[in-house]
Amino acid sequence: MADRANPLQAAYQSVVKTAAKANPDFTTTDQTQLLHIFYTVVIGVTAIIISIGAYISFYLQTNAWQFLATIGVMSAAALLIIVGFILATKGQLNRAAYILLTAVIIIYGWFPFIWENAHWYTGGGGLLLILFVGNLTLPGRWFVWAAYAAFFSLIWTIAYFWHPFARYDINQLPLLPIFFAVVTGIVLLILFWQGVRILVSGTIRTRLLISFVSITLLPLAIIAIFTNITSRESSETQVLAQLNSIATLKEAEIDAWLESLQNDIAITIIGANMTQSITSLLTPEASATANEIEAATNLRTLFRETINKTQQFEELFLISKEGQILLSTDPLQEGKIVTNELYFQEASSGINYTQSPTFFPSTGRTTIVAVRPLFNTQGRVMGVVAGRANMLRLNTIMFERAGLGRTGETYLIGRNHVLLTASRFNGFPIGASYIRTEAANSVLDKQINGRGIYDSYHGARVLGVYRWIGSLNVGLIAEQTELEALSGNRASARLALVAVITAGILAVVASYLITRSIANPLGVLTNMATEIAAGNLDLSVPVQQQDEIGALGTAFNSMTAQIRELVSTLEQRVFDRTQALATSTEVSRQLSTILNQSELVSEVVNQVQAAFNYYHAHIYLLDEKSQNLIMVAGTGEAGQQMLRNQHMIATGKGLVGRAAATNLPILVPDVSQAAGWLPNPLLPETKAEAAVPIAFGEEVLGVLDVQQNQVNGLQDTDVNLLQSIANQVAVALRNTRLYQELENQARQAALINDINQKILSTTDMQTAMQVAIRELGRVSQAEKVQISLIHETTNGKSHTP
Amino acid sequence: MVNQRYHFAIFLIIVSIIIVASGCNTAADNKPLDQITVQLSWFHTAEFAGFYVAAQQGFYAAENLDVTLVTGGPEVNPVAEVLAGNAQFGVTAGDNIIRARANGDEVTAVASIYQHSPLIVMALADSGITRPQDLVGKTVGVISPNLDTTWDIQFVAMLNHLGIDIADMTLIPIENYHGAAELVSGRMDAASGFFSINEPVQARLDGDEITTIFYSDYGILLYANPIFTTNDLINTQPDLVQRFVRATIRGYLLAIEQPEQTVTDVLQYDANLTQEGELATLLAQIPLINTGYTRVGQMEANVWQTTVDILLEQNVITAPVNINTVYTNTFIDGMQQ
Repeated sequence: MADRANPLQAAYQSVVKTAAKANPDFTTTDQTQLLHIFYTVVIGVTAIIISIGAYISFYLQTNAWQFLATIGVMSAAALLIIVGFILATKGQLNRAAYILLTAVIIIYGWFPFIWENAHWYTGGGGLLLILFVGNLTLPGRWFVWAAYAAFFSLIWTIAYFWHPFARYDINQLPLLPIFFAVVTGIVLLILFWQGVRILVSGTIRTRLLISFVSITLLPLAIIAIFTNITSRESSETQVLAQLNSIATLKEAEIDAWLESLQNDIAITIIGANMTQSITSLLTPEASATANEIEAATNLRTLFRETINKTQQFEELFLISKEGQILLSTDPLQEGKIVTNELYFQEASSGINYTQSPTFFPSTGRTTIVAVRPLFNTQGRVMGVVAGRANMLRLNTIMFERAGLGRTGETYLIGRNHVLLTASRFNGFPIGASYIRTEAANSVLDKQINGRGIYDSYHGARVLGVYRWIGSLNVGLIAEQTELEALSGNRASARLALVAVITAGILAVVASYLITRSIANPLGVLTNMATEIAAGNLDLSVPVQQQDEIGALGTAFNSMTAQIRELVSTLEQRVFDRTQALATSTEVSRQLSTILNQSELVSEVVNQVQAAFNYYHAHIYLLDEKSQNLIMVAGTGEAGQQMLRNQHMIATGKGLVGRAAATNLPILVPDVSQAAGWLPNPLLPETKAEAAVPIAFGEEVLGVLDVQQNQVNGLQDTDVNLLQSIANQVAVALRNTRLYQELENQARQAALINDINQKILSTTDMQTAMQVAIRELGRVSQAEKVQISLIHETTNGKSHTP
Repeated sequence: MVNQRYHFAIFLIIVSIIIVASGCNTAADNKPLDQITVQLSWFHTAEFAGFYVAAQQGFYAAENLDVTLVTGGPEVNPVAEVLAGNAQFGVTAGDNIIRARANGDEVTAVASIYQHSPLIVMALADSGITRPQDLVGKTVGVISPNLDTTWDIQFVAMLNHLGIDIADMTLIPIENYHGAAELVSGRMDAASGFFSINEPVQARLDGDEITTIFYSDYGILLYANPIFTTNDLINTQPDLVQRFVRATIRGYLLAIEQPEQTVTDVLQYDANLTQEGELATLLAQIPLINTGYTRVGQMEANVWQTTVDILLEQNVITAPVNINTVYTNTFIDGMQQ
């Protein structure tokens, strides 16, 4: 049996019995509620046992007290659930349900106090679970679920803002977020399943409506999403390609600029007298102090001219081979020692070098320094000319925003993430803003080129391209906000959304109309069927549609009409039958008073023909001597004609003859189909004929024959009726014959008595004899009467000739 | 119905009690945290922002460390405190570590907060003092009249390198370290041994126009605030050192990225600190901490060698010290940045 196959069901059955025993008012509704409580308890306890197992294993891994405490809370909740179960077995279903809900609140209300980053799982999962358990165990009492849900929300909110205990971040254990996600997923699945059940068990109207709307919306939404993603991707690709080409352009400009820095220093050095001036400065032993001062003045002037002319530098300076700044356009810098600076070390080894943007504490700025070594006639480095580049030039290059739209920008960032060129957004000063976006980290840490979509330093989400500029040791980033880059895309997405919403509304309206056109007639038909079931047959459905529903209505109407007709013909037939029986009775009653045979048969045929509206009826009686059936009565003119013709049929011939010969009724519903049927020229309209023997037991007295002028105008019911009449006729015929016999006997007795009287009145033998002869002759109508006397010894007898 | 609602209310009360009660039930904790004491070189200031952030943002806790930060000051010798076992880690100027090594003390620098030396001479802008040569004939403030502190040694080294005779100026000890107070009062023309991120920042906040002379502009390189520990700890518990360095540098990285939030953490440690002052200090020291050319905390041989040379020049130490015994980048290299 099923009980054995499913121990859960067996357990449930026993619970139902216990509960029903404990609670005398146990109803079927209660039974459903109990079933739900039962399964909630089973699933809940199972889930808690699994969770406790999981938490124990997590605890063993981490030793975090939160896990241990959660196991405790879970166990407490499990105990509560068991208490609820016991209450349920005692028939206290609502109390049991309250306890189950309380257990849910305990478990899910506890979580947010001790788990970090699990708020949305615990909040969402808890609320869903409360609604689910509430709906199952307290059907219809939504105010209770709402109260529990509100209470849970309150606890959750308190836990969200108030941190009474140290929380364990679930992200610290990679398995834990998965665990929470899976548990919440299961809750969602269960709810989804419940929703599907509601849908499946809903009315046709609901199901059709939901199906129509989802069939309309799903493809539309999928296409819209797909189109949006595709166009979004192509927009992104396009914008990124554009940014990339801009970045390439900027990189080329930067390289050109760096080259020009070196060139400008070279030109300055090569300038007339320069080499000589420098040599006199760098080689003190070869010149007098006055020369040095003059050379310094000249050089400083030349440096200033270069700065003014090229606008490439903010400072040009000369460094001795020992690393001291001998001369500078910024007097503050003179005398400083730069031996530890990279640019000096590079230039000392004879290399033209440009030091990438570097922060110099003394200037408090990040600058680029370009250097060229100066060689003496022996080809040895005797000093270095250096230029601190004018960063505004770099800024101008990067600030050029052709093709970057309203939000696009390109900027450089130094190795330490510092912003080197101006931002188009306020609040990000050059040199003091540190850029640590995804792009900045990639380009600076990995020194690679790339592109991506990420949150930029100014907070907006951007499409960005980044390049590592090796010549300058900086990262170049070109960005445009996603908002702007995808604005066209967003417009089409908005359009798609409008389309989806419009289609959704149309789908709802259309499906409402269609649903109504199906569901309403079905409702009408259902009502009508109910009415018909109640016996009301005079209804008909208004058929307005030409479709299957209309056909159904028509068929329904036709079915109702048929039933109605069937019922009414049945009534007609009952009426007919009753009338026939009445006729039969009437005939019998009349026959019983008629003792004259010819009068009887004539009466019978007329009565039968009139009562049943036959075309014709007649009776044949069997002449025992000739074994012919002689027609004795017939209706109408044809009957009279046949009587005059002394119509007769031999036994065994024709319908009538066969009926007489077999003593069985014969029915020919359609004479045209009957072989050997003899038409009577006097009765040309005959289409059906029935011949019923008039018999008294085995003795056939005659045949009652009726004819109808319609095919199938005569049926078995007619035959049965006629047979019963024929039987009455047989009795009546027999009566008339017996009466006739008795009358004859009486008349004979009276005659004899009369003759005796006449004989007795005679006085002599002769006279007496003559009287006797005369009277006998009169009575017997004999031609000759003879009386012979015989001796007494011979015991004389009278002879009749 | 009334009866059921009554029960419902009771259940809600029970639930509340259970939740509150179960919250009180704090069970056993993790492995015990490693107790660490750090002897700072100075009073609480944004200079030590990385330590505060690491403590406040749970970086130390994440490394299973419980860190106590102890303030220093002119009277405190962090090397002695660490050697005495009063602290496991200390912050002190690079020359102190070299001196300890010369003494045979087993301490090693494991990271340097600043890459550039912040040491400066500060003067008022209208004093006309813009280079060391301008100090000749002026009254100059020093940290100690004995000129034996780190800051004075560096100052003397700078003058020596430039061939300036220290006897040509009048030296008096600085008494007031607030901004440019000593200069404004006229007690001195210039003050040596200041940190570019401290007094000048404060002076500018106070509205004083000042000039600064960086020692590093004259070849005087120094790690002003390396983090050090004992060789014993490095040898016996390298993991502990690694965890401490990692958490601290993470603290500095966050401090660099989010100066505004970091100030909140700094202010937790001293009620006298101001939001404005500490933020300015924080912003000023970012380029010193993160140059972009070395990893945060990393140390370079030439800087240490410069310091050794200066100490030898001034006979603070008598024999050269192998700089490889003075510092290690092992723990900076051993972490992701």
